[in-house]
Amino acid sequence: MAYRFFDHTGDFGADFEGADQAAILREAVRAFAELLTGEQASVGSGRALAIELEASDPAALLVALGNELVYRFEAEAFLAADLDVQEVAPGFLRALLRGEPYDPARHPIARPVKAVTHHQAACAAAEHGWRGRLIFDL
Amino acid sequence: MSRKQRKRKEQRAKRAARKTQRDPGPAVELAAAPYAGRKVPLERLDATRFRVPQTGAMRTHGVVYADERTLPDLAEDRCLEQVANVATLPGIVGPSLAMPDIHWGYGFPIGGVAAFDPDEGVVSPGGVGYDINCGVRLLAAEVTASELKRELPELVDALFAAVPAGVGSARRELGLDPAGLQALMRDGLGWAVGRGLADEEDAERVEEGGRLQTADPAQVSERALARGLNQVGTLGSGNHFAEVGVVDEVYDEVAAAAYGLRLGQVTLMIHSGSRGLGHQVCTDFLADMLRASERYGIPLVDRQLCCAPVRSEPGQRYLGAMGAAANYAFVNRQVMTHWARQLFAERYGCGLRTVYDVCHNIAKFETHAFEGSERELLVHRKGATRALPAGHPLVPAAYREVGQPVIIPGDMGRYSFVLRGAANSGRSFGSACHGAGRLLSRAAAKRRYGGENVAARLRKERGVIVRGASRATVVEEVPEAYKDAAEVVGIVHDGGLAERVVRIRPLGVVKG
Repeated sequence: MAYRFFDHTGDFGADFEGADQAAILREAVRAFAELLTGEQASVGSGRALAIELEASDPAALLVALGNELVYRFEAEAFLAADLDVQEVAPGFLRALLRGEPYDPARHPIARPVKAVTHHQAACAAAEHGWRGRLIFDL
Repeated sequence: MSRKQRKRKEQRAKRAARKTQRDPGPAVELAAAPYAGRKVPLERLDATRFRVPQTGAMRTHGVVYADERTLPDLAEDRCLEQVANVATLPGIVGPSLAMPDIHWGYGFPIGGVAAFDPDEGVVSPGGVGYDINCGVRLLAAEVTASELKRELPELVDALFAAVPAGVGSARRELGLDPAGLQALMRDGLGWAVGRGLADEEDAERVEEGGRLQTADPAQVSERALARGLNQVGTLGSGNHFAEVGVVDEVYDEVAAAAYGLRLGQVTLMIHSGSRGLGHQVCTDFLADMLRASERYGIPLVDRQLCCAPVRSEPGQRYLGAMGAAANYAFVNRQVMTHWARQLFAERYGCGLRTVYDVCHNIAKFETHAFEGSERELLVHRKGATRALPAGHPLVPAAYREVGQPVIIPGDMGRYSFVLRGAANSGRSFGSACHGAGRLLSRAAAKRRYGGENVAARLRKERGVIVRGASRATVVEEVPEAYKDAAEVVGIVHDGGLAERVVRIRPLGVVKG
């Protein structure tokens, strides 16, 4: 697991590590699934949803991806578990979200995520690979 | 080149063109935060106020309401840095303020208040928050606590069923279609009155009459509409709740009588906001405002403080969308009131009268006295309550002699308070605290109390019945995760922002 949750007074944050920007984005999807359902491993990835996102830079793109997950879950009952990155640039992502239609019996909500914030958001190359950070509004 | 290869080449070219057309602009470079990585000094002003000295990019100083008991809590997180960060925003008038329930938020601290000049200042979605017009309504029931106590478990169960809770919770009986949702966001409580879901007295006892005139539903995105369509009349999750309580102490007989509250009075308090619609509006406009900050040359020390000049096109669009979401929240609390009224009428044959309904997360144009003259200002309240004193023209006529009711929910085990706006609220642009304020993070609460049945303990030790949409939420909202509301309210009272009227003890709680 290349993400780690940390405390924020009213909410939760997560730090990500990966080889490149695409890896950070993938880890964010996995962390979201774990935060929402309490565990990530059992969320299926049989259904794919094509997404395309744009933002001003990698950090804003990471936030945009997080908010895409919130929207897809709340408005379309799509629970994402993983991400197939097809094309990524500092402010652009084309990818397939992999997940399953949300079934509350299989995945009771552990922590409702309402939004992903720009506060302390980060996604940048580090000494070894890339690092990212998001704070989730619960 | 084969047909397939040509097609692929064309597709690549189209994608490249699309990316160029939608070029979102340069990356956001953050400026140095005034107290980044340093301890924020506090200079005492008086018994309840401390100054955060102006330094670095700050355009003004900060003022934090606190006392000896709450002062150590301020060092527990980074909320004081956020008070200083807000002071860097252009056009801020007076100090960057923090109410005594301050804690770490995003961009603005929770409990933050800041006023901006409409011509030279900015509007910031981060200064309002995700849950636009999250707020609280207090209702008074014409039933005694002893009558109610016998059936309390059944009542809380029925309330849990009547007011859907949890993330994404929905209720479809209103049969709203997109056009109806547009009308709801435009007319606010007037929409509910027109459909028999509210009466005129409700509208009189809701902040701004339950309708922000600046609302422009055309600025609300399709995504926000999709999230909001079936969520009117639902509680939501996190710290939202519907709480049955009883008035167990009266501090100010005159004001309590004016509010229709007496010892032993049963109350219902509803804490909720604009649900997914408001969150999506905030999300949409934060992306816009990041670009706007760059375009207007506004240096940011925190991305969540992104903003635009009040009179600019993005600023006006945000105010229109925010107003629409605020009206949605007024109606949301009203519709839950309607469901609860049906319940109380069926079970007890009694009514539920609106005492008052206040916004916690909002930016509004208000007129305040500042440095000897009356000025129109755009007041951002992020986790703060309006608290207008006696005689203020915006206080409902029925309450004008005593001041606006200020409803301060505590935690689900101890108590909540009703106060009245007082004379010194001019120092805080007519604002007071909005709750007890968190003491423990959600993770810390889980570490400490995750192994116990919090609902069972509350019932055994305090006689409070708790129903929650999520066990994790009940644990994370454990009373010990919050500051003692009495201490926070004491600072507001001693500081003269608002004065105690009654205390309310919880009997039964529905948690989101």
